[in-house]
Amino acid sequence: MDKKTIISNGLVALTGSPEKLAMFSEFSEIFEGPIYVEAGNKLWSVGNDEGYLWFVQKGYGFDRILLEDGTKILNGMTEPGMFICDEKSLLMGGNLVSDSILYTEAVVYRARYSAYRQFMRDQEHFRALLISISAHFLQLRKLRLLKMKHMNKADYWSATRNRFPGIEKFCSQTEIAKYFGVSKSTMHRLMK
Amino acid sequence: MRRALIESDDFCKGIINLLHPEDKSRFDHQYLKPFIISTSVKCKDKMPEALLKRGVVCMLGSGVIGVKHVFEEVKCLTHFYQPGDFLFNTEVHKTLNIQESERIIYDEVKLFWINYLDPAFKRNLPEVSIELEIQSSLLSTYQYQGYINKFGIDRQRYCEQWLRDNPKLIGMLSRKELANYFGVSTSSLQVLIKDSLGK
Repeated sequence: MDKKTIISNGLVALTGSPEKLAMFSEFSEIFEGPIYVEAGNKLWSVGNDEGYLWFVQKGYGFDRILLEDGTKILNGMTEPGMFICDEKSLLMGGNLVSDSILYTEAVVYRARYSAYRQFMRDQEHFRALLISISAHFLQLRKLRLLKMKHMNKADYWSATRNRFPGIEKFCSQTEIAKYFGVSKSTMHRLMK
Repeated sequence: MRRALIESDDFCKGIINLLHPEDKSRFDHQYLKPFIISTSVKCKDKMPEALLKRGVVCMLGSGVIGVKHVFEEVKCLTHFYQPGDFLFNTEVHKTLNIQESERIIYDEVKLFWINYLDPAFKRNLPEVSIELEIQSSLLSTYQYQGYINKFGIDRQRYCEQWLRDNPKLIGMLSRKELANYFGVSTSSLQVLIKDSLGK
């Protein structure tokens, strides 16, 4: 499959659009790639001054965000079919405040933030779709917050381990505890 | 600390501050003034339909709004909006709201709002309209990352500090709602209250 098809398919899945729209192909044009990344490499790092919006065709990984108080926490997980970026930098400019590391080999595409913003300015119909895209990511965030607060933690750990086999090899117990919103001792007990 | 009262000028400046830094300097907040609407909603009343439309961005001027979602068939509180906070409508979008999120008015609110997709707004401030459309869709998601981080870093410390900072709000919530907000049992809530407030 070519870049247009791969990225358009990603947008169809995200927006729930019944078909590949012409603007999806146009959007895919702002991306460069495919870029092949070996396991263990970073897509981006804290302090980088140039930001990209990434589309992941293949590969798994994690991103960690550096908070204002100096704490670095596990922010999200990278999976095929996802658009990922350093959100803060995309929204508010400045250097990147997160890292994204891959733990498998990956195939990705990337678009400069400036190209993304210009595309959105120029494409009124695509802007109208942003709410669907945003709603998709928002419901994932809501779910994470709700699971963090209310889901049985043993079940949550079991589901996470099934979704990301080997997570404990790539993230420390402290990081996973913060991701789950529990103490390190509770996490230690859950992971036994 | 929260500001006691938010005025329309704060809202205009806040709207411009939502824009990307490269765009902020291009727009004067004074131009927004003719498009600002203020609406009051009484405690327990529903949010007016006009405020839930696509293109609406609100700032809470006074009062408190809580947000509940359905999770495992239970309504769960995840966060509160207090004066100075922005509300983005993707959170409660009618057809994309899988978690059935709803906003609950806990204390009569005054809201300042604009609709950047309103024809008059688009005609007079076309560039601001476009930039707000791009930013607000992303901000609605980004806002939730903040709620996640607060709980993830150190839930106990966050809950204790929240109890000390929000005495008025504590009085508006039942113990069950408060325990639900913290994601703890009611007995754990008693311990949290005792540790933070000495009660």
